[in-house]
Amino acid sequence: MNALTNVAKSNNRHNRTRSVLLIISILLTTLGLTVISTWGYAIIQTNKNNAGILYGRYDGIYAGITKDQLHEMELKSAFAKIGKMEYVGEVENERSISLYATDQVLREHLYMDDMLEEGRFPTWKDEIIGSRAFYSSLGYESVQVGDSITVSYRPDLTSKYADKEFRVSGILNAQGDANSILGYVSEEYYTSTVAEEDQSYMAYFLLDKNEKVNSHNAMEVLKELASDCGIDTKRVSLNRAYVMWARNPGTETILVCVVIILIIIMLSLVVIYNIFQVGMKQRVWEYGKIKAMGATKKQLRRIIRKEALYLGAIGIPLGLLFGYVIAKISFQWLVKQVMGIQGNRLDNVSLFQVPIFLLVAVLSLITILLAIRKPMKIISKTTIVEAMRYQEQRKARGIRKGKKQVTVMGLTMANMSGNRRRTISTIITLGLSCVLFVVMANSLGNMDDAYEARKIVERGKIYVYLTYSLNDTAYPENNLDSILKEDPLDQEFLQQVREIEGVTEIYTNKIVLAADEKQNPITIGVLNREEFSRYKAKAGKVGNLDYDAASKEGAIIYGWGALMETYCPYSVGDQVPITLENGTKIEPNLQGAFGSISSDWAVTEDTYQAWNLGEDHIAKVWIDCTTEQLRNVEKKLNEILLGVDHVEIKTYESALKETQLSMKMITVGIYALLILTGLIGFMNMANTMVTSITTRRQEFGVLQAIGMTSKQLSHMLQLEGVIFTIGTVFVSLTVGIPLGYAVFQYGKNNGYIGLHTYHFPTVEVLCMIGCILVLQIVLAYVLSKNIKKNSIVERVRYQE
Amino acid sequence: MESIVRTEGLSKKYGSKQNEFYAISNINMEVKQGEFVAIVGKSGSGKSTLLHLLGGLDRPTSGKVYLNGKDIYGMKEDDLAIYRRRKIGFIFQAFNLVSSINVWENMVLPLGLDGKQVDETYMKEIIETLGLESKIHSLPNTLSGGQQQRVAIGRALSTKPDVILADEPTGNLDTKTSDEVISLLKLSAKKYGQTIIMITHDEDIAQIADRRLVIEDGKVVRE
Amino acid sequence: MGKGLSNMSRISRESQCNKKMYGWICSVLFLLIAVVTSILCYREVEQYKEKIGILATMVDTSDPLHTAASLMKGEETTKSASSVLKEYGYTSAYEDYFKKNCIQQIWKYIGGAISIYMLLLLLFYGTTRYQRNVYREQMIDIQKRVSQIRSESDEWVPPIDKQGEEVQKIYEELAAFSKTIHLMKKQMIQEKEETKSLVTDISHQLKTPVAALKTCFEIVEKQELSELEREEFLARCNHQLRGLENMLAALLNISRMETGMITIQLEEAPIFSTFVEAMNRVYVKAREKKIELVVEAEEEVQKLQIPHDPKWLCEALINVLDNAIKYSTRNQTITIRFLLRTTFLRIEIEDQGIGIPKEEVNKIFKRFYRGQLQEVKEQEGSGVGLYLTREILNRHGGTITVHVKSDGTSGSIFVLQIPKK
Repeated sequence: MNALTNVAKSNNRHNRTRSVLLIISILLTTLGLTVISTWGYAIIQTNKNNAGILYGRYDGIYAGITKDQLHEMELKSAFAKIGKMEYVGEVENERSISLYATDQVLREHLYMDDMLEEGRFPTWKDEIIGSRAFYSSLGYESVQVGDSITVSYRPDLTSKYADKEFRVSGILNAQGDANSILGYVSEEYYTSTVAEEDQSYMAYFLLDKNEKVNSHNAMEVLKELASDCGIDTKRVSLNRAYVMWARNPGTETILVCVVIILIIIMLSLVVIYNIFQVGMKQRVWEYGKIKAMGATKKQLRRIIRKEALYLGAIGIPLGLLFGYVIAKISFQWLVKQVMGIQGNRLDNVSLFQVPIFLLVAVLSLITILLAIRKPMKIISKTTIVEAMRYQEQRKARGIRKGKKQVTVMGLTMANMSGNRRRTISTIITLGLSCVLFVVMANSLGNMDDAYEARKIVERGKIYVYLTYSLNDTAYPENNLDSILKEDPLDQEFLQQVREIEGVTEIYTNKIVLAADEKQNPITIGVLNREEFSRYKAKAGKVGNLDYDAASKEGAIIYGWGALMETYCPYSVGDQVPITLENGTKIEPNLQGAFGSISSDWAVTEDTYQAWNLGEDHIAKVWIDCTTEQLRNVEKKLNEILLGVDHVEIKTYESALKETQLSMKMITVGIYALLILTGLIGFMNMANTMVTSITTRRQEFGVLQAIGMTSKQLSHMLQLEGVIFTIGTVFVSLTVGIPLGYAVFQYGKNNGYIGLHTYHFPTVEVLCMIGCILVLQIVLAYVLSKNIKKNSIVERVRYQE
Repeated sequence: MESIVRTEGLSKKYGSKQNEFYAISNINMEVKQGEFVAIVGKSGSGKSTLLHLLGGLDRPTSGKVYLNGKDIYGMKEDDLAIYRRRKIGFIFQAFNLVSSINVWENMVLPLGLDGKQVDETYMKEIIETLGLESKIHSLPNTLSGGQQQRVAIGRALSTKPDVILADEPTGNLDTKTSDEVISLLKLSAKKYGQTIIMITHDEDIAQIADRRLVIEDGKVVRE
Repeated sequence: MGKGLSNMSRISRESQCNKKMYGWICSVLFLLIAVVTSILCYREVEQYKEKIGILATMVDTSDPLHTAASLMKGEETTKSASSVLKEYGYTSAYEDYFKKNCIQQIWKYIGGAISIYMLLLLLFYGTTRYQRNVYREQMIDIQKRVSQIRSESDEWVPPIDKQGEEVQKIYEELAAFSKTIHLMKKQMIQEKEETKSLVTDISHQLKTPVAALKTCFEIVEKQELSELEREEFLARCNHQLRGLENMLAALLNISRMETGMITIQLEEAPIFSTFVEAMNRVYVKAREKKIELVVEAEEEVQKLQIPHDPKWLCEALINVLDNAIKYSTRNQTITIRFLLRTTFLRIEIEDQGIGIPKEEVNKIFKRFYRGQLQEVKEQEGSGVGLYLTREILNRHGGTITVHVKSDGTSGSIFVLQIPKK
């Protein structure tokens, strides 16, 4: 065993260049794999962790359950954790203030402790907690922990308001006051003041980890469990977002990661194989000697495997290390960026996961072993005599037309065309990486952030809109119909806005609430002519959309062209039965569909007028103002909308920032990947050049003996490099540009982020060409320096 | 008569401090214009080293080599390469030819490196003499050993050098082909008035030369 | 004279060519500069128009802010810029600041272009002038050297200084040329020397047999001999005389060959006939010793015609065959093989005789050398046969070598190679 190890080690030391190249390739591969897997893991884990923070850490809610039903739930193993919330009552106040009782588990589920500004949540019967707005609404302006306050509330609409005294146990920040002001008391208070038969709970529960639940079957599972406990299935709510993130192991992310990993592995397979392969040919002769000394085929294979493994032993750990560092730094940067925009707290995920490193190491090892399989076979199969007499067999044709005069340029060209297969395969390998680059550059370079941001804030500088659900069973007050009863964006509001200093224009968008065939609530947006044509111009539309025709027929248009086939049971030309909010039943013609609008359906202004519904409901307001007054307008708007529920503000500025961030992330991510693949491809080219030099060392010796100067030799090498470069650039441009344009068009038609107008990615392409050239020149320079080291005699005698 | 090649105290040492040895030591020899000299010796006697030093392919530890009165080791590397190109023709034992270009191109290669115009009449004459007319466009890997050596001879002659240095030119060839190749070399060189210095371990081949130098253990033993 | 004239016309044609080239370069340069300048001027005018257009549009509109904004977005300017200007009285260049600037700029461009052009021309002229001077100097230098070569007797070693590739090559050619002349001189001297040494050698070689002959005669003359003894001595004298004759013949051949009196005249002739002729001449001697001569030759060899001098090549073959017979013992075989190789005809003459010791292999072809072996010394021989043979073969462009047999049997193989063309 020792002898073999020795041979393997000395072989590696002897062929230093080849070893270095191999180590670098292995390093890059491992690095790429590590970064991708770590990122994938980090993304999934972060999402899992933060799904809880963002959406609440519970799978579903059963509302209005009795104590007995609760008991049933507690008995079932399916429910791992149950947090309870109870509606205590409505506080007597001009504003909408409600009292709830919570237990510890629920507070954990909803991360309510984050809302604590001072003190703690109530545990004693007489304790209460709320936000400053809560206290001030009740008349307590500056409240301290331990103060006594009186709250007048009634447990339901039928009872009378009654005063109760409470002790302040803490103060909350305003986070929880999104929709209405809430105050919390202890569960003990609830159980002591409400009769058992009247107690009604809302159970926020986490299913057991082992329950076979995912986002598709979750609802059925929850309903089934509910009926098992005797709970009305209509009061079942699914926390879809959380279930998706916590239970679905992020299949999309994993898929993307696996694809990228496969690409990297395949690339590096080719490269490592090439590097090894060529090194093999050189030393078939040497291995033949070893065989002649009596080594068996197995021993020979072992030598080669050892060589590869020793190199891997250096390359893999380094790759892991660098990969981890890069992944960590980049991910932390990513988190910082996202936190900057969303303002949420995001849990830190430890990126140092040993299982991932092991997995990556194993993958790299497998890649290496796969790559050397063929070379091993060749070596062990060559007979001793063949090996001894081995000369570089070139499958060249026997005849060459040639030229009368020979020049250095002519020599170089002859060499390239003599080794056509190798030359072409190298150009293609590097060329393909560059093709990928060009294709991506075509799309990435053309992402228009303003365009994308305008998709979010369509007009003006500030966008004010209603946030609503259509069928929220747990919180019915979130549904559109109840919101429209309040109609927060009414004329009064518009007047207030107009009076703000700096506001120049206001655009509004009406909305109609209706019901479809199955009595499911749907929204119908109202578009004027200008909006109609604007939406029509966007990609993804279906059918022949015409404003006047639609107005004349009173036609209706579906809002999501891409989803039409899946979700819309009607096709173009059908009659769509709709019940308007005032009860009228209509059956307008389906003219077609827009690419995407924010309501389910749309009609023209004229059609809307024809319906004569009476009061207009406004769902969206766009405000344009002067740039100097923007801050002021924003502030005033916030003041106006303070305490108004279900209304959100979004500025164009912030939308732009968000868009820019996502674009930056995508761009950086993709470019990093491309650079990695490009480097690996370049390794291949470097390998080809090094090999061709090694195999031709003797020829070079002879050439120098008959009088070639070192300068001419360097020129030859540089020429070769230039030819490679030109070939690569040519391949990448001729294939990449058309392909890239096609990808761009596809993306644009499917509404991918920011793709709007096409500009030729000159800068990126020039950069790429520049990089390749520079790398080329450096390589040629290093190689020619290397050649100069040997004396001519050594070179001529090389084979001996 | 003027010597075309002359050495003065030429020595070459190899190895590190512990085990250094002299491949050749203190060689003084002269070759006159037009001579065909064979340097004979067993393997390891130093004859290859001597030839390489005569051709400027390696640096001597001490001593000088004069080609046409010029001290070739006083020149810079690139100047020496140019000088080699024009004044010396080389024939090695094997792997003489560039495998990606054909026979003609191999033969005119030194001219091409020098940027000189090819004298096609002269080249055609050489090719005829060497019996390679039918092989002008062939690539080296289709040629036999003897044919490859002929091409090497042709290349050595193409620049009309002063000296042709041949290192075991028949080492890889069978007896009859060896005889012929050497006779051809002599014939061509006499025709164009060139000097040939050849090293070989084969005594039979050496007979064809005008003069024999015997080398043993790095020293010229007898003529 | 005629050559000189044709040379001169060639030179003037060349200089005309050069002039043409200059003309071309100047006009192309002019065109280039003109084009560039025109483009710049055109752009200047366009920019002016754009500026005016913008102004006009702004002046003409009722909502400047809105107009400005749309202009910024790239909308078209009012086309009737000049009419608007006229309306407001901006007609001539003196009032129109932008127009003035534009015209000034154009003038600057033209001026700059002209100066650049002049500069370039000057530069161009200057460099060609300079180059021509350098060239002329080099020519003068070469001229000097050529006359140097002619007058001096010593070989001229050219300087290695970097004169430029072309001139360096000329120098090297001159050096080769001077060397050739030098060589010729040396050769002449050498030939004289060789003739001298040949004469010395011959007289040396003749001394011995002549002395022996003299002794013989003296004995016969002076001494009292019996009839038998007398006959014996006479026979010995005869023998010596014949030997002398032979040597003289051979020497004559050598001297003629060496002094160039006899030349090898190559003619296309069937080589095999020459060989047969040689065989005929030695056949008798072979039969005397009951030695078998085996010939191996293909059909094609027998018909082969190669350029050679039949007389001399026959002599060469006879020499080798003679030696083979001389140094073989009775009843042995001598094999002669003819092999067609690529460039040469290879003739192998193999005997089974006493062979040649390794140390002597290189010496046997030397003039007047006789082998050291006892058997050789006993035989008659002048030591010039193989020398002659080698010379003959050399002049044919061929070679002769002797190979010691590898299988350990006795005898030698003489290999003659004769070029087929």
